[in-house]
Amino acid sequence: MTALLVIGIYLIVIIAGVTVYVKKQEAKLHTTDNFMMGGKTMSAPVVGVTMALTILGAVHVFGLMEMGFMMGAVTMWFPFIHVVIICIAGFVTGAWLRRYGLDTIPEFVGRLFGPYMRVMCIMATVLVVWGFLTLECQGLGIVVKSFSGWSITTGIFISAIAGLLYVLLAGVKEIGYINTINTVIMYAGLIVGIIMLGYALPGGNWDAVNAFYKNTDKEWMMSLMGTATIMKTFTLSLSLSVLFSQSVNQTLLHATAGAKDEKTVKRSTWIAAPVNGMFGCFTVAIGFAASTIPEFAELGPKLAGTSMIIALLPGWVVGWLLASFIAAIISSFAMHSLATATIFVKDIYVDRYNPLATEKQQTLMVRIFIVLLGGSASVIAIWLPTILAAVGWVSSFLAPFFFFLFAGLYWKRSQAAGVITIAVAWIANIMWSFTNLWETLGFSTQDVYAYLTVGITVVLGTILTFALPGKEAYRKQLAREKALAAAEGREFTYETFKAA
Amino acid sequence: MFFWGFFFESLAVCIGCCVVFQVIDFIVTKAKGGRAE
Repeated sequence: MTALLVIGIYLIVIIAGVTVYVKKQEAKLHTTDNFMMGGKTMSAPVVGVTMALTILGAVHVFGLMEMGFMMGAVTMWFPFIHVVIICIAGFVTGAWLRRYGLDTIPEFVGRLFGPYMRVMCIMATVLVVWGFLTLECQGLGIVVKSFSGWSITTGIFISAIAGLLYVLLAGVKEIGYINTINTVIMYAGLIVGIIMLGYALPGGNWDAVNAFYKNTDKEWMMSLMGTATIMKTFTLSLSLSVLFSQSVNQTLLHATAGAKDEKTVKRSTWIAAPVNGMFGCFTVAIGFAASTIPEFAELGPKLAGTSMIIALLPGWVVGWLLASFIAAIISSFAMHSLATATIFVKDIYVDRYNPLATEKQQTLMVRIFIVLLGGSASVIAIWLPTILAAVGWVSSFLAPFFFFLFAGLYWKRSQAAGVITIAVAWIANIMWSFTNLWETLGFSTQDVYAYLTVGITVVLGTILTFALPGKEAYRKQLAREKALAAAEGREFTYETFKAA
Repeated sequence: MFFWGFFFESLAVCIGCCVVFQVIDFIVTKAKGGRAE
C-alpha cells in the first residue's frame, strides 16, 4: 500500500516536470504537430526507449513469468522475436514511414494503394491496437492487485487514470521523456531485484536452481534452445503470428514517425532492441526460479513468480519491482491510446471530415479520443478475462498489410488485388474461427490464424497483383518525380510530394 | 552463476540481431550507390 502511494506521488511529480519541460521546449523550437508527432524532432534515445516500452507490457511481465515457469530459458524466444520486430520497424517499415514524411500506417497504405485499402487498414489497426490496450488495462489491474490486495477493478481504474495522465498533458514527447527516465529506474530495480533474489534463494545463490533442473532431468530448461518440439511449436508459431502484424502496427511505428529523420530511426533501433529484449531475462528467470521451490511451485505458473518475490524479497525491493512492472505496462497503455486516437484524428477526422483542421482542433480531438478509448478499454478489461487469446487472433487481421507494403513499394500497386486478397483472407479467418472447418480439414489445432491470413495473402496477393492492372511501384514513381524536379530545377522533398 | 550466463547470452542475441540488420542496411545503401533515398 505504501509502495503504491510512493509510486503514485513519483508518477505525478515526473509527469508534471516532464510536461513543463516539453511545453518550454515546444515554445522555443516553434515546431508544429507537437502533440501527436512531437514536432518530428524526437532524438534517437527517446524514440528507441519509446519503441522498446511500447511493445513491452503485460505479456512481458506476467506471460513470460508464467512461460518461464513452464518452459524455462526457451521462453526468451518471445522477447527475441520482439527484438526482430523492432529491427524490422527501425530499419525497414519505421524508416520508410519517416523517410516519406507520413504519420500513420493507414496513411502509408492509402498513399500506396488508395482509399479502400486505407479504410481496411484503419479497421484492422484499430481492432488490434484497441485489443492490446484492453490487455494492458488487465495487466495493470493484476499488478496492483498482486502487490496491494485491492480488487482488479480498482487497480484497472486507478492505473488507467495514471496511464491517461502519462499522455494527455503533452502527447508523444511526454511519453518519450517519461519512458526514458522510467527505463533507468526500471532496469536499476530489475538488476537490484535479481541480485537480491540470488541471495534469498535456497543456498544463497542460483546453484540450487541449476541443481534442481540437472537432478530432475530437465537440463533442457536451462538452454535457450529448449527442445526440438518446443522450438517447432512455440517459437515458430509465435514468430509468424506476431512478426507480420507487429512490424506494421501503428503503436510501434508511431514513435518512428515523430523522429528527427530516417537516420535517427535507424540509430534508435540500437537502443530499442536491448531495452526491450533484456527485460524478459528478468521475468523469465523469476518464473524459472519459482518452479524449483516447492512452496511456490505448488501455487502454479500464474501465481508462483509474484508470490516468490513478495515472500523472499525485502519490502523496498518488492516496491521497486512493482514500480518497474507498472512503468513497463503503463507506457504501453499510454502509447496504445495515443496511436489509436491518432488514427481516428489523422485518418478519419482530418482526412474525411475536416482537412483544414488547425493544430489546436486536432489536439483537442486526439485528447477526446484518448480519453474515450482508454476509458472504454478499461471497462471492457473488467468484463473480458480471456483477452490475451483474442489479441493473438485479431493480430492476424493486420498481418496481410506487411506483404502489400513491400509489393506497393517495390513491385506494383493494385488496389483491386489488395482489397480482394485481404477480404478473402479475413473471411477465411472468420470462417476458420467460428465454424468447424479446421476439424473437417483434419487440423489438430485451430490456433493457426496468422499462418492462414499470411498464406492466403502471399499466394492470392501475388497472383492478383500480377494479373490485375495497377500503378507502378511507389519507389519508381518517386524516382521519376525526383528526376522531373531536377530537370525543371525544382527542389524535391518527400514532404512537398506528400502535400501535393 | 546461472543468471548472468543467461543474461549475457540474451544480450548477445539482441545485439547480434541489430548487427545483422545494420549490415544488411549498409549493403543495401551501398548497392544504391551509397546515398540515402
